[in-house]
Amino acid sequence: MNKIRDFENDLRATLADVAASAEEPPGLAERLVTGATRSRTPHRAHVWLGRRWVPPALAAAAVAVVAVATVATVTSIQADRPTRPAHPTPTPSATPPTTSAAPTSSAPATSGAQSSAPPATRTATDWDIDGDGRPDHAHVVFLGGGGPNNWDLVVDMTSLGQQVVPFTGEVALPGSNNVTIPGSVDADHDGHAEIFVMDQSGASTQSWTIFKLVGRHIVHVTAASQPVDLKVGGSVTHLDGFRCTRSTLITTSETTGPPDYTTVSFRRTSYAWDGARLQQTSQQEGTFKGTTAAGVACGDLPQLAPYQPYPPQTSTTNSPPPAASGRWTDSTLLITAHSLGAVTRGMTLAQAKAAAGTSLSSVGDSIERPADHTLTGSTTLQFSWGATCFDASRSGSGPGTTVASPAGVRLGDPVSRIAAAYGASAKPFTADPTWTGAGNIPAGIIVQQGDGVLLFVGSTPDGRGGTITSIRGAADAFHASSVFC
Amino acid sequence: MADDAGFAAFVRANSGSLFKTAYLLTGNADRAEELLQDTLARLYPRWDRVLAADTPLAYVRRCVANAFVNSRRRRSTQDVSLHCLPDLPDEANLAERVADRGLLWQLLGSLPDRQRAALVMRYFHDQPDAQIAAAIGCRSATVRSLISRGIATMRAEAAAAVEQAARETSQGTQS
Repeated sequence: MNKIRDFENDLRATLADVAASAEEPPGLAERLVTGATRSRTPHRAHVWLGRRWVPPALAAAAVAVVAVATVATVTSIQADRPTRPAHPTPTPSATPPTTSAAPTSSAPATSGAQSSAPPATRTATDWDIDGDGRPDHAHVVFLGGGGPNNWDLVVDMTSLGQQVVPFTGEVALPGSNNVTIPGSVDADHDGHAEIFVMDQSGASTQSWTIFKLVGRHIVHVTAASQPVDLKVGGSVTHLDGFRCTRSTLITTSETTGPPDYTTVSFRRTSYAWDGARLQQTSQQEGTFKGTTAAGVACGDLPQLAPYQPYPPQTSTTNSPPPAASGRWTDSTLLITAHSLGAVTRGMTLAQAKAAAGTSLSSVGDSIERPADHTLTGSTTLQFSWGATCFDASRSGSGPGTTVASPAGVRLGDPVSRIAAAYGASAKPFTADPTWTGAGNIPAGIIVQQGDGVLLFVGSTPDGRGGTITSIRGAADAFHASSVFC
Repeated sequence: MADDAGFAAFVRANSGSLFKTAYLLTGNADRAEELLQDTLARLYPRWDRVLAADTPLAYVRRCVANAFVNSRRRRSTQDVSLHCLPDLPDEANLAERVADRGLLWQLLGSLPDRQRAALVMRYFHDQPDAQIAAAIGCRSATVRSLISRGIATMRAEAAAAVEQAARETSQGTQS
């Protein structure tokens, strides 16, 4: 029945056939040259890092992500139409922004609209919109009505001052997930972080659009002469997302259906960056066997924009948190799968103490905490010896260190924010029922993060409800759920 | 310091060839381009080292394979397989079904990354064990094992697919 003769020759011929049919995409060579010479910094820093040792330099970079975590949650929405800053006749695409000569309060006194944006020589860190190495800030303002241009994007840059760009989004309403900014990452590696704005939110799918600095102005990115519209999220039968490479942005749309939901139809569209335009370069359509898996893979952007309630949040500041050192004495810290602040996986105890910026003491079971237990208020920070697991926990309601994941989920947040931030990648996690040792092994919600996991523990007995009382980062679920974490 | 002109000339001259390698490894054009971008961005700052190699193109090709194995090992987001397995019962001629190179291509895509990389380097680039070992970061003996297991897996899967198709065709005929 099986007449496989000379299987190896068949394989050789198959590879030759496939290679012959794999035509080089138009413009590939130029994109490769541009991508390699424009940015020497790898997009995904962890690719270059050993599993057991993360240089402190990464910790410093990771700390900058705290800006994303916090800024993404301080979007302000004003129900009353404010006085719109003067700007030209609204044009949805590539509208020249208004520019305020006055720098924001966080900008140095010497900076302002007349400054030039620093030259882009490497990939910008998150929220470094003007490329000067310092985090910038953006928020959206609802102007009222259904549009067009019923929203303003207000961008405060440390080197270029404030600019305002109108755009059209869905009407702000109570009970809706309102327009917000899920993040700012350097998607095209031009040295300036792009601003991603969620401008519509349906039952399962969100629409995101992009703004970026071109020259000295923030403009709305377009595709086919329209403001770019990226679909994100989905349900059982469809899933959308996008991915950033060094010089392209690739959208993916997948659909599946009965009877077995295992045949997935997909459409994948590639775009090349051309200033403020995304030029379509190719499109693929086909099917595959499996399950829908499209998602957002673009720097530190979340899978879905976090829930943005109405009325406006009561945030008292529109500024990002001060540039954090990652020391555990800071008021805000970032926790990842392999770091808590500047303390990163694989550090020796001496290195960890230096990175934490405070003396540490052992509390048994190889767990280290700040010696001064009042330092972090109601928040407890700790890591296991050898820095294999990091834990930030909240007890009581008093003030304490703010700890946030890269997607902006913080200690004390409702557990529901985890799903909003991470989408389908957030999975229920059940504690090992066979554990008979001491201590509590937490259940909760686990999220795969690169080469590790984040485990969120809720205040309810199953760990999946109420408010987040603990966030743990570790190489795997075993370590994250270990009593020794 | 990289020689920008030399680097650009190399890429322009070899992008097509490198793209084919990357395509065979990744299974689709977008991922192939992404793999090449990552690899070349990594090599660019030390381009002198590439040029010092006996065969720069072979050196870069090995780096592509190495980047493929390592990047997929560490990838955080789940990828979709673009290899479409046709519905087997629809195939009329089973012998042709086995010979169908689409099936082999699909089976190749289902292999673990290191096995796939080893097979591509061996059966497309005719690389010896030592070169493949250097590319994917293992010993020569491991390369032989990877290739052997990869071939065995593909043969077994192909046989299983044919048997399943035969059963389903038979059932369809009886009903």
